[in-house]
Amino acid sequence: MNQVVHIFRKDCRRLWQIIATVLVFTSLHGYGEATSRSGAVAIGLSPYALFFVLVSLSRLILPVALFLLVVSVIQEESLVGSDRFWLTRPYDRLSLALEKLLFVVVWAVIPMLLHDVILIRHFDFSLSSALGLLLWKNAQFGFFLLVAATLAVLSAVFARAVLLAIVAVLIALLTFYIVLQKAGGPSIGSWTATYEILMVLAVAAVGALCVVAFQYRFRITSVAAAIGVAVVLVCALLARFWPSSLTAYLLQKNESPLLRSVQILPDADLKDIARPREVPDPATQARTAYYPFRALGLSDNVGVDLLGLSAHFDSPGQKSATLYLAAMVRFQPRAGGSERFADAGGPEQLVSFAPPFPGDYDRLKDTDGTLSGNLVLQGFRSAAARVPVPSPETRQDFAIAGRRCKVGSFLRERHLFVTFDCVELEPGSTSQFQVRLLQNNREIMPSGTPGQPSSAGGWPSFLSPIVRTYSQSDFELPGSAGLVGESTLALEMVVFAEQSLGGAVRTFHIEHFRPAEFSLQAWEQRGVLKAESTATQSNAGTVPKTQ
Amino acid sequence: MSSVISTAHLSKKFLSSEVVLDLSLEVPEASIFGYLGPNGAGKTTTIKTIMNIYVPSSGSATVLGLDSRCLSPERLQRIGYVSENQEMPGWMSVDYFLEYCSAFYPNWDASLCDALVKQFDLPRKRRLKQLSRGMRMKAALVSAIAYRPQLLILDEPFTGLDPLVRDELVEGILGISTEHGWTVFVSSHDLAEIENLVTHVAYLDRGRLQFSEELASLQDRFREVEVTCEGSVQMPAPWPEAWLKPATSSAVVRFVVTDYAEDRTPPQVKTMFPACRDLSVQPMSLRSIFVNLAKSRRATEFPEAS
Repeated sequence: MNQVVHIFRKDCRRLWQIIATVLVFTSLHGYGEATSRSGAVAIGLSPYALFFVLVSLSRLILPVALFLLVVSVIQEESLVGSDRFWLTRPYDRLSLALEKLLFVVVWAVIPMLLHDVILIRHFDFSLSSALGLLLWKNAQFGFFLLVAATLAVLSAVFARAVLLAIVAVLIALLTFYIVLQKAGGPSIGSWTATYEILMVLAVAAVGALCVVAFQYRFRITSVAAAIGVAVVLVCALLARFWPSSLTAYLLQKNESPLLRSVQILPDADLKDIARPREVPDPATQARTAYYPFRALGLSDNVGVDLLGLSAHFDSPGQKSATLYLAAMVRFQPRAGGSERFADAGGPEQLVSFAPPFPGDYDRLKDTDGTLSGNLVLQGFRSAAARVPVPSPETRQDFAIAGRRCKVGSFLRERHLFVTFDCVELEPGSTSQFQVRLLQNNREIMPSGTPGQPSSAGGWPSFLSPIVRTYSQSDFELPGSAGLVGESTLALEMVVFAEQSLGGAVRTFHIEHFRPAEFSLQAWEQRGVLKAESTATQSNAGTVPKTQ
Repeated sequence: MSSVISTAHLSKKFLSSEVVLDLSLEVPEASIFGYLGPNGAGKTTTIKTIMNIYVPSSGSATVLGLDSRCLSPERLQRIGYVSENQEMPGWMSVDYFLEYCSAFYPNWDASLCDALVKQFDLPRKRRLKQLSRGMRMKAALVSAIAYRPQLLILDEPFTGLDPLVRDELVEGILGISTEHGWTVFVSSHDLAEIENLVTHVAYLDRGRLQFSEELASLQDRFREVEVTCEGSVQMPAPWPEAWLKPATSSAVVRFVVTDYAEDRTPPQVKTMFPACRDLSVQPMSLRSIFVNLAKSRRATEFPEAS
């Protein structure tokens, strides 16, 4: 223990400039996050301008400073080379490794944790609700530090660590390219790769830990580097051979309780379904078959987006064909007169099925077969709040669905602009944010902009525990509103926010699927579609999730 | 007398290059052991293997009774090491460097350290990187001596030093080691600088040990022989293996005898040179022995050039 403290004091004395840089930029970054100064534009040359420039740059400089801190402290007693002073001194390797860990914890992890806690408290989020986030964020931060440590134990000086980082990235890209280039198989949605990515990162972290431990124990750089390359290969192979059944299992296991009761069932007897979203490509539209589906078990404020599907069409005497989703579909409970959802959708929707190859449709359109597969869903919980439009140049606070927002407004010519400066905890569960304007309890217009997807967090995400989003809604006021240049006090807004509930996968099976008979026109003729087309408008405004 | 360092068939390879080959060496306790050899002979590699900086490719090395691969911090507290190539923490001042080192050694003798700093006239407040090479070596030596190590390993410690500094260091090492009965293992390619220092000597050439013995014994068995003959020299054949390649000029032939014996060698010379008119036998300095060995090797390797 004495040796740990002794070397620690020496390293602090040696690296005080880097420590100071990390602490200063951690503080500047925290200040920028708390005061939204990070986006400020500094004009002119003044100490203030310099300060704000540094605040703006903190997101870039802080990771570099942290990387430098970790690499420098490890390379103080470099494990590479045979002429290092410390090698012939009675250093205990375990104490040395513990000292490096202590140094990184004291000067990188704890300051960052304090930065996070202060930010979380600053925005009135409770620490208990942010505990999981803090753990997750620290795991990401730990991974970053571990990568830096791995590069440091394999190099003697900082420049070589940077060079090694570039080489490592190239090796990783090349390995993943070679291993994954022949990987095929149906993709059921990119977000379902989360588990795969997490597992690859976990293996990479364990591998990095092995390299660091090996170097501290044996100090054989060539072998340690070989272990590093082997870890990259293992990660690539894991990504290549990751079983999709495991993803499905994990998705089911971690499904939100609000989605567990949700069923999406095919039902050809449905009536008065809203017209589905247009398929952008007319040629694809022409070979797209539809089938009505009904959602059951949706809670009052819970909906699901059908993001993708993987379906196989089997017809006797024909080769099986794969079909995919041509246009996203949203299922949600009926409005029932209350303002819960920004969109006007319902629990019954037409789901589109398109073959990836035109020849498949021509071959199978007149056949009768079975269609079965998986529906890839993403759940969301919608919240709505009525907020008075604040007077111009004033700002007011309101909270919705885990978001803390400051809303302001200003008038320009015939336009009313409402600005939202919102924060929420990482990784940002708000998937959509929409505003409608009301006058005397009556909606006078929807938002001039579509729903605002929230950021999934800035890069690198371990730097901040909050996601900050700015949005502005532009309402072109009708002359009859008589508001131009007047107070906005009589106006109200309905703000809708959707929080992601995560993903879910459901199976389906349709007997007697006949593509030629299931075109959009065919369903229209059967009276399954609503006659009027105006009902489709608000649903068409739905934007894809970005989470 | 027990051995402080002992190697048994020690070899070290770097990829396909064999730097040390089948080295078996014994360094007696309380000796000042000169480890000699030309540049690139494998001296530094041997020392780094002994210090567990390199892992032996085969064979083993034992230091203070323990396998070099298992050198623990406790064992390193009894070994002092100074090398010409060692990367010192240049940002530290001399004072802080010594203070920092002191915490690693329970036996650190602050008064000895102070005395050495004064003796070597080291500027306490100056950073190591601002010191001259000689001063830096002195600082390293102080940091390796102040805890009274049982074994002091010096790898080319005098290279590039001016004679005054070198003499100071030699005197310092000699004085302290003889006073305390330490073992000193010193490698060098320049024999003149350690001739007055060592009690034992080993000679390494291209990774192979040529000999290892007490200096007195070595100097006893190496003699420079000059034979003046009547008329021109007739070179005897076969030439004895223990005699190094001769140099001749008309009636005079000079050569080095590596197994000189007072009662045996002069009669043998006279027998081999029947026309011998005058025989002169001179003792050799360590430097002469080294130079003659190196020349002989070169002559064997490149006979045309010689």
